[in-house]
Amino acid sequence: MAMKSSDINIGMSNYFQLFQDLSTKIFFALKIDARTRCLTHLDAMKYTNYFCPEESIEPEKWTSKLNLDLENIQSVYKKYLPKTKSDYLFEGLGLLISESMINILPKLRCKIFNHHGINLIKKSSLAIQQNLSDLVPMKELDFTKVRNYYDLLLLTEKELFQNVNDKTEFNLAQFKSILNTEGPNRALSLSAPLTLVELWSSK
Amino acid sequence: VNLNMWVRELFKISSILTSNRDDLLEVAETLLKRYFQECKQKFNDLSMNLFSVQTLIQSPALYAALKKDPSWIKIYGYDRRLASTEEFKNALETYVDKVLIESINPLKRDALLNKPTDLILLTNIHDSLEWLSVQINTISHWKYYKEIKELATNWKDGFLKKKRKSIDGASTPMPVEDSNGGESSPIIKFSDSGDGIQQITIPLPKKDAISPWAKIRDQPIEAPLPSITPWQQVSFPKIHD
Repeated sequence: MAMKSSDINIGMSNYFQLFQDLSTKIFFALKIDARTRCLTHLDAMKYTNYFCPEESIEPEKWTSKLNLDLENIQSVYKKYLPKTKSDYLFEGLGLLISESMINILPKLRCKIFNHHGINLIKKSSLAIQQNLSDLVPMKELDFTKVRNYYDLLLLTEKELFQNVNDKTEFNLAQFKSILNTEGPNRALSLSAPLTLVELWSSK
Repeated sequence: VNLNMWVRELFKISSILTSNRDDLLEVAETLLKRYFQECKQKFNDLSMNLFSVQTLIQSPALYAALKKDPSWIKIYGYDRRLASTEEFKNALETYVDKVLIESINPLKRDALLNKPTDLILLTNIHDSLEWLSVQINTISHWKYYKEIKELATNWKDGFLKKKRKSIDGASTPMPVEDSNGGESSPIIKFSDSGDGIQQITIPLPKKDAISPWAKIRDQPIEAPLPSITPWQQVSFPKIHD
């Protein structure tokens, strides 16, 4: 028996919803996958030794892997998706990587940095910044913030507290992480985190 | 992919054909059903270990927040009042970024889309499903429009018939004389004049029959003549020089 047109309508509108839902789910999955990819590569930082015996010319290995990975997926998106969608999938990755490079500090296994180690991180951030700027529109300031943050490790305790009063770029948790990490000009101190909290609350 | 092409072709043909369209759409629906099941199966097979998909499934709040992303809303032209940058960012940080940064064990390699072929497959499925959903929506609207049009025509015909009956003042149709001098029922006849314009022919009543309808028919049309007021004689300024 032939189907009534109203029945077809019900069927069709059901399919419209089903197709839309699955299509959206896949699209969001691709976006999350791009973020997960970046964070998975960044995970290598946790296991890197930043007390380096000598100055490295190259950035960290994971950065080149991340750059290559992003280039590859970008080439697929560019080929198979419209530009607006491809841009959407890459949107916010610059900010994500830069913020994560800062917030990963308390998770590092190696809590001691020397000049070479700090320079290595700065080189890595620059390498990612250069590659990402070719792939997506992004703010270079995000990666400048990473370099400024790791420069805080070069400061003495006194200079760091002075910085807390002046700078508003970083939050309390980020300053705490700096204090809990040994820099080339500063040893770990038990009283320093308490002084920091006091300073922060009196700001 | 082949099935997708089949459905696309069916949609194209159904948009050209005027007759048997419903039958074709019925076939298209069967194909859509198969296509959807196949896509879903492929997606499920691929996403079994994927962190992104599992996170989306386990956190409906993340899915809802992603739909509030201003950039996503911009792509699809949805209502911008629905956008919430904060909600979107917070959800991503809570369900994705923090989970990964704070995890002790690194994510397994198969939790990501590693093969380019898988990535291509997913982008293709996404694009095809979206294209098809737009076509389905168009067809659904067209079907509704057709049904409403039919309803409106039926209602109009019914209304005219009812009006005729009320004018005649009787429940039985008024006997009318047809072109051959006989009697026929008072139906409004539509005929094509050849140039596509429909003409309405109303059969004339019997010469000796006195009915309200005849009275109305014989009444002279008294329409007020248009009067020309002085301002209408003034020439209007030109819009374009």
